[in-house]
Amino acid sequence: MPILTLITFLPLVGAIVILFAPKGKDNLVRWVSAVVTFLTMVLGFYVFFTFNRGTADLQFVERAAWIPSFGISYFMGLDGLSMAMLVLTPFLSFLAAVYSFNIKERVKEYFFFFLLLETGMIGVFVALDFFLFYIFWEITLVPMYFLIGIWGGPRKEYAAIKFFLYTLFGSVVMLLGILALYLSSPITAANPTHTFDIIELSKIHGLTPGFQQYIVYAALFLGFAIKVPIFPFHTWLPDAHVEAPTAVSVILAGVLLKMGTYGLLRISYTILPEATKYFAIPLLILAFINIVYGAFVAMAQKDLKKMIAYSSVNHMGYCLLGMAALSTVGLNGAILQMVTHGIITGALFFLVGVIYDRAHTRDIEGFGGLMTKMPVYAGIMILTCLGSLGLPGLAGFVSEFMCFSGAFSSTVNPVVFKIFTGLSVAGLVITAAYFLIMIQKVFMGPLNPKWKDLPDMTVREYIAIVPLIVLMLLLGVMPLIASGISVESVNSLVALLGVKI
Amino acid sequence: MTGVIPVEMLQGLLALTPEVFVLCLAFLVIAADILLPVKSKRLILDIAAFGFVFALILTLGNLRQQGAYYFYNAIIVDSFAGFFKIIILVSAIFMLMMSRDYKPLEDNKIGEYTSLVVLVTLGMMLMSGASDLLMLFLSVEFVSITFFVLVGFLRKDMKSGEGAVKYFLLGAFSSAVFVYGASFIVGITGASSFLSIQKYIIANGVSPLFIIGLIIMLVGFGFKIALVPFHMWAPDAYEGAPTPVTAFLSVASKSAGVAVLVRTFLAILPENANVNLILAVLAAITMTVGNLVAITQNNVKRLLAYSGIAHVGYIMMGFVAYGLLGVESVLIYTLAYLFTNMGAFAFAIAIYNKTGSDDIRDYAGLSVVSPGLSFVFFVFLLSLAGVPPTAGFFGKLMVLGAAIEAHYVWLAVIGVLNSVIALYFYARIAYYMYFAKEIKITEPLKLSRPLNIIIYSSLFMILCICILPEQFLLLATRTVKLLIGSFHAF
Repeated sequence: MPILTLITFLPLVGAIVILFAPKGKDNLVRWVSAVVTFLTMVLGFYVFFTFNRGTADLQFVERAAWIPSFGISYFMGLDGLSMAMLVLTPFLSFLAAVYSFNIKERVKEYFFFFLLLETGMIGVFVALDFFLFYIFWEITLVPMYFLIGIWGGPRKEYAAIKFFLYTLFGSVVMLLGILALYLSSPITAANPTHTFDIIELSKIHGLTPGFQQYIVYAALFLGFAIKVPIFPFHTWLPDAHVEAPTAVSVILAGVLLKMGTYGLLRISYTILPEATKYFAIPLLILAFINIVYGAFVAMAQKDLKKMIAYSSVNHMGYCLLGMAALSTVGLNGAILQMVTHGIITGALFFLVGVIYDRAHTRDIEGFGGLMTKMPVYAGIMILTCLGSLGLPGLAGFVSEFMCFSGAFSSTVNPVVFKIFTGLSVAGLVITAAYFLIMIQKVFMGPLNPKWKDLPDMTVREYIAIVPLIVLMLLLGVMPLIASGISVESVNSLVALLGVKI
Repeated sequence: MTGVIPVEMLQGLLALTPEVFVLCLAFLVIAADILLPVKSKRLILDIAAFGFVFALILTLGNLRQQGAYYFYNAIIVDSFAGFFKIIILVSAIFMLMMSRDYKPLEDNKIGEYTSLVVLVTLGMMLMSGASDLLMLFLSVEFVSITFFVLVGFLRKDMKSGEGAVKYFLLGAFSSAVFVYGASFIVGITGASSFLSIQKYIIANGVSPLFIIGLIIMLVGFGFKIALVPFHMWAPDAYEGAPTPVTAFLSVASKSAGVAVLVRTFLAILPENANVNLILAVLAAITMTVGNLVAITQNNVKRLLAYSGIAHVGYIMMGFVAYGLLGVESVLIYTLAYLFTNMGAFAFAIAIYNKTGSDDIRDYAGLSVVSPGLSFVFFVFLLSLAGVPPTAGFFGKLMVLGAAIEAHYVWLAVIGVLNSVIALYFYARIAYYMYFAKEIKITEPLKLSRPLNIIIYSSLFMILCICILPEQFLLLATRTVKLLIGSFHAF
């Protein structure tokens, strides 16, 4: 059974079905979307549980000739680098679809774009042919543009076009890099054309190490860096996050940002190992800036959502730190960090949505004493914040610890890595500070009388948020569920990179 | 003696069956104009459209031709010419279908209008097969003069007249420059047919004066395809012309121009080392100017005119690369451009019929009343911007690939930066359709059947060219391989 194709295109089929829904049947559209995303999630978990963790080989491979005269094939597969994201994406999408039941206007279009987005995101994580990869990569842009631009907040138009232009800029430069890689693959009697096959390209090493590789690495890096986002390409992120509707923020933080780090791992690391080693130190420094700068800016925010958006910049910094280390611990940590950040920040954005739907403000200073009024909400929010700041026993701690210890023991350049890893620890402290300050201002102290009638969470909100909290606790206690999945692939990647462990 | 010439002539006429048929169609249209009463004049458009469909079927046979010269080497029938004839005929069919619903066109003028369209189509078909400088000049002039009239067809509209005059003056000037350049080449080689010029070049090599002549001729071509800095006429002519003529001008006339440009250069220039820098700079300037100026346009026809200029820049980028992949990318890009632009113009007409305005700010609220059609329009805009999974993306991918393969990395970089600029102004249209607060369009858009056919068949094609391009690629490869021979350095 071509299960990856099924997972990828099931949401698209759902989107097309929705198009034929009669006018005014908004509930039908909502339920169709919920069912479709649920089925996709079930398939995702099925793949997750049947995935063989003991090998670095590709699994669930599907391959067919597609455009032979251009060396393009329909090539999908999974390994440890992509497995975690493949299960996280449908999972978050389902929760976000359930949360989106509160969308009231232009429901049909909303879910159409939402499902289209899901197809694009899943496709990015399973495609192993550059052409296919790029198509999915770009398909995520269009629905996102509309989801922010139509259903967003007050400055939605600005945020939407900024997101679109920024990410398109990154991806067209990336396209040049892809073409350079394509043209670098040799033409032989067996292969009469160049190839877009990512796995094949990682075996060929068509580009000579040195300047050529660096230029191509830089072109690809720009595309990924804008997506992650890495400082100084991050300015679209706060705008997009603040204006996007809640469920879209969750997807944006939970999945879209990871496309950048995944791309780096899957493409830059495997195809351009020499350049990766060459740029390990610059990546480390950028990771450090992301961590510390992101944390400081997050602390300065008055808007709750903006604060969480900047905390994403900060947390993706941890992920980059682990990746820069080029060691097994660091890379496994980075992959786990992708998952835990998706879970925790996803939950945080949902929680911000919950309070915004009630109070219609996100001003941290404007709340106070909510603990007495919404005890359950406050409990969940505080727990998630603690998870985000890396409290041991919760998911965030494990992955951040791995990233830090990986970077600290990195053999690429021990002195520089030790210095910057040490400095990055400051980020953890600042992160703790801004979360605790926020908790204090919003939940502690006397109740602001303006909010005396706030109701606690509804069933819809529980359905969206509780699974994330459960997973956060579970991964905190038993991280091996997720981290074990990438071990073999990371081992072979590290062997490819040729760094001493 | 007397028997020899007519046999050759007959063979030529037989090979040019599609052209002969279109010529007959022109007479038929004129006859129909005389016979039909004013009320049913719109029928003439249908007659011509069906005639073109038949001509299209006849032309399909051209795709399998190996390439044979007729009329003393003045015309070649090969799959390259066939490819462009098909593009021209498809756009002519679409254009006539659009004209049916174009309100400013008066009923009693339909016959005249249609016969001009049929004749100009004939001219462009001859252009794509011309293999002699004289034949080339005659067909180009034939097309230009007919288009002057078509652009100025709305006699009561000042803008239409203005566009026609500008087009005419610049056109006449550039024709003179073209002939001047051609005279260099004829003077040096003593021949006007490409075959004889090629023989001369093989024997004697390329002299600097020959290159100068070619560059001067390039000005003439540049005018036809609206290459910057020879593009000044385009926005005014596009804005003033009846919208179907604008669509026709932007697709068919440009494709025919690209065809003669590619054919001439490939036929008489073994490698483009001497002119490639000029071509590359022209391509870069053309894209950049086209896109930058398009940002500020509010009239959809002017916007598409400038975007069309930018697209010529992309086509030129493929042409600069000059190799197999380069010329292939030109073909695929032109094919993508045909369906993308025709779809976009069909929407412009549909919305104009609804609102009476070509201003994109008047598109506000379209997505609320017709969400489905708005999204389809958006897909066309994505194709213009080169975002997957559309034909525009595939064309752009090929063009960029060709440029990088030929080591024009700087040109490719300018190309991708331009596509970001381009996205901005296409997204501006989407902005008004989707996000604008004050609503201008309050009733759903109703498409007539011809517009429906144009839009959905174009949509199908632009998705098909990106998702299932194999057959088009094979066709393009076969076509280009026939053009390239031992004469070429690559």
